[in-house]
Amino acid sequence: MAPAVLLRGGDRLFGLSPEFKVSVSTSLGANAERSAERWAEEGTVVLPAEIARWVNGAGIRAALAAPEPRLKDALAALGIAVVALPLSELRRAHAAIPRAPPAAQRDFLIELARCEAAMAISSPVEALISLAREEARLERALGRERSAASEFVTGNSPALLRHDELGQRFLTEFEEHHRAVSAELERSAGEVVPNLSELLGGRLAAQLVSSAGGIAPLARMSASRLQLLGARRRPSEGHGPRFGLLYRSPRLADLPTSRWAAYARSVAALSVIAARADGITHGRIGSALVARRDRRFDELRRRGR
Amino acid sequence: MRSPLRFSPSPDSPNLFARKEERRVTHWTTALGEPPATHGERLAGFDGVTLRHFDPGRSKLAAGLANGWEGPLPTSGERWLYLGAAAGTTTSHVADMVGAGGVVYAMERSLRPFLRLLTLSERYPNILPVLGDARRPLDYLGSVPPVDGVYVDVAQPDQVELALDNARTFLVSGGRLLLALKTASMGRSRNAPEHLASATSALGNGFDLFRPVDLAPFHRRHYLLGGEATRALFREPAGTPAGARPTDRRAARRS
Ligand SMILES: C[S@@+](CC[C@H](N)C(=O)[O-])C[C@H]1O[C@@H](n2cnc3c(N)ncnc32)[C@H](O)[C@@H]1O
Repeated sequence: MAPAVLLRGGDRLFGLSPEFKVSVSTSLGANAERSAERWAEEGTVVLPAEIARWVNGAGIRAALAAPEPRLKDALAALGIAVVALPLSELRRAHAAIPRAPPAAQRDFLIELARCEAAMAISSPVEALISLAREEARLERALGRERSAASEFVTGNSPALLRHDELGQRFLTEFEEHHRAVSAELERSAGEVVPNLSELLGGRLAAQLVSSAGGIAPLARMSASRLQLLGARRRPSEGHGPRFGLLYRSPRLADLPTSRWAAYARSVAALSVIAARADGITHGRIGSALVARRDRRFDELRRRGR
Repeated sequence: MRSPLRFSPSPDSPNLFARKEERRVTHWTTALGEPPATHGERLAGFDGVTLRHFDPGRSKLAAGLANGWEGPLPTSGERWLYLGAAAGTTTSHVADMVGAGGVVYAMERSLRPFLRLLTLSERYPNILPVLGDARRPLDYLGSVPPVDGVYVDVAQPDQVELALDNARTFLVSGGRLLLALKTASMGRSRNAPEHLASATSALGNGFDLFRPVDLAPFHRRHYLLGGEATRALFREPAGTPAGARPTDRRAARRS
């Protein structure tokens, strides 16, 4: 016999009998906003009373399916294991639940999107990524402004001289703003990815996190892939790029160029270890990694070109 | 004197129009959003409605149309699931095509484009935004009902498997799939035509495919693929429940 199924359809939960008839249905909250908050909340969803009663009903616990992970977790929190639903039954159950009119679905999904986006942005990693992107944008803009200012011709025309003065003032303020954002970025990186920041400096650490889309993807990455993060050209045998963002690795510029690729390889390998510590084990290994980096640096410099 | 602009509705989708210009045919969709333009595209008035230019340089579906795509298109009154909506450029045109009586569920995984998609859906009556990962269809099973069509543009190495997984879970029987295939995401060990061949053979069982269209010069090494679901698509894939196949996890790690 098919199992009974617990499914969500927008802001409502439905309990379906083994014949896929709706036997209980209740909304997650009093309105779209409340329902969305309930569903997006971190931690386990609390099942409404009617649903909890239905779940506990005779016979149903023997075979209950809840395909949506959050519902599965909610049941697990009640000590109830769920069975897997074969595709054909999943499709039947999914098709069997009645849907709210599109306008009501839309209200709920937009509220849900707002809640989830707000939660995501408020996480420290997302804040770090936003700062890293903003800093990179400012740096590019600052470069453009500086080169424009250096090409500005004034002669001794009072109007142009006055204009130049205003331009210089703007540039100074712009530089100050850039410094403030950079300082905030360094601080935030030191908190969110302390090991990686110690190894690479906060700015580069943040850029790697930003380019990978988070700490977890960075921690999962192979060293060879990390080495190429942010590279403009594609990897290919023989004539690919040697590094992307790691081009700005600390001390790289002090080596002969023939040693850059070797250094970048080592730094990439150490970076992966640092990212794993930051994302998974949360140990403090930054200074050990810096020591290994510097040993490698000395080795490469001794070997010279 | 210039002849008056002539728009003709597409036989496959009444909210989609074609216009013969000197050297090419351009495509347009009936604007549903308010205000109409979403990304600085050209607008034109025709027969009392506002049409938005469907730019082949900015949209793979528009590039497919420009290059003679003959397969299925979203049409008036349908529900579509759009995977990889980004900020919603193409999504808004799909929303135009399904019209006020249809709905587009627009899925996007990364936060920044999603925030723009959210702003867009606030002024587009039939775009419903969904934040999530297209590799895990069960995560949004409760937000998306069965749909008439699935549109996939995620530019990921496992885009084909991901399309199949979502189609199996969400398509009504006889529903349609459109896939913007980016072969550059599928590795360099094979060239674009070889990737295309492997994609069509992976999809060929579950779909009656139309002739794929190369999207060059608008999008290089991209193809538009699609067709109608066959019964075989929904057959149980050897004993594993949807979303729990080992490929899902392997692919997730790769990305
Ligand atoms: C090529 S862009 C899509 C452009 C858009 N379709 C258009 O034409 O306007 C690909 C998008 O897919 C998203 N994406 C990649 N992997 C995804 C996944 N697993 N789930 C959902 N979205 C994903 C990316 O974040 C990116 O925004």
